[in-house]
Amino acid sequence: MPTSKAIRLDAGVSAVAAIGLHEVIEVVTEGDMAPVPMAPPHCRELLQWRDQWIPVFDLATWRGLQPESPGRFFVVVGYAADAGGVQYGCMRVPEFPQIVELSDQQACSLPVDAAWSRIAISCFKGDGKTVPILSLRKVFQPHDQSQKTGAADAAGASIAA
Amino acid sequence: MLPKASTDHLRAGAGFLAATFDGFTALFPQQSVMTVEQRSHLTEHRDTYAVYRGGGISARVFSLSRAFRPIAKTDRPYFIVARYRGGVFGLACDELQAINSAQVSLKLIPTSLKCGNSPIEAFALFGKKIAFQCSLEAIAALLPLEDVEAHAYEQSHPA
Repeated sequence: MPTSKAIRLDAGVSAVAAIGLHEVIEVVTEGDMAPVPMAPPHCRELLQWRDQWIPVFDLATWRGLQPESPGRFFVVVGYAADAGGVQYGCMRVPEFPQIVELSDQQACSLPVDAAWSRIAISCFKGDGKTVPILSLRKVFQPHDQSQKTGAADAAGASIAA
Repeated sequence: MLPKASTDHLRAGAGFLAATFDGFTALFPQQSVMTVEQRSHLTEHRDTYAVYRGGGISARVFSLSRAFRPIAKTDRPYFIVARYRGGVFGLACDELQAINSAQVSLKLIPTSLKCGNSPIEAFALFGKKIAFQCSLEAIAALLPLEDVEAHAYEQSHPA
């Protein structure tokens, strides 16, 4: 049975997602941070990593969660950019990321709220949870400049229901 | 690496002026800055802005928070008056420093960090801190400006 490996990011009950193992460069727990004014709440800081500054995406905040303290793990990732070449970013999460092995039998539909469909490309079931697999290009190069949060979409979905 | 080549249009031939306010350092092209003055040269003080008149320029001068909102703080020691496509405005600052273009390597702000009306276009390491290249037009769009500033500039600088 063909399998592949992914990294599972756990940032709270409604904020569990995964990215490809090959997209992860390293996990760091500290680094200089620079706040960026007028940025969306879930992505408002730059992290100094090696010789550059990279954007930090906070998965819990994007889902509208309000953790008591910000995540302490910074998962540095690389992805193919729209303009070509490799770009770097960082996913901030409270729990150390886990390596998971996936098979085709675990594939499932994306959750119904529209937020995930903007940044996820597929989904699987694992440990009783539905886990969207993220497109890092969609996470870090959103075409929607309004930067609506996942929480806003989730709220809209529940109102519509 | 974040894209570098596409920041060429942001480079200022004569360099930048680094203006620090509320702990935030903004970079403006020097060629857009009409004058640098001390606070004592302000002639009127209103709730959210002061007024500068001098050298044929009439401009509202704002003290901004790092979120680009006008605040009532007026004890910043310096201010600049800058021109943008729609006119002129002033910005009160805690620190000012002229820097050569070659001293900074601008990188475009990642799209994930940018909301629609943010004036921030690029960033650079400046000393040990990050400075942000800002659009004067976008800052002006956030300010309570009136046509009087634009008209004053046009009258003092006929085409």
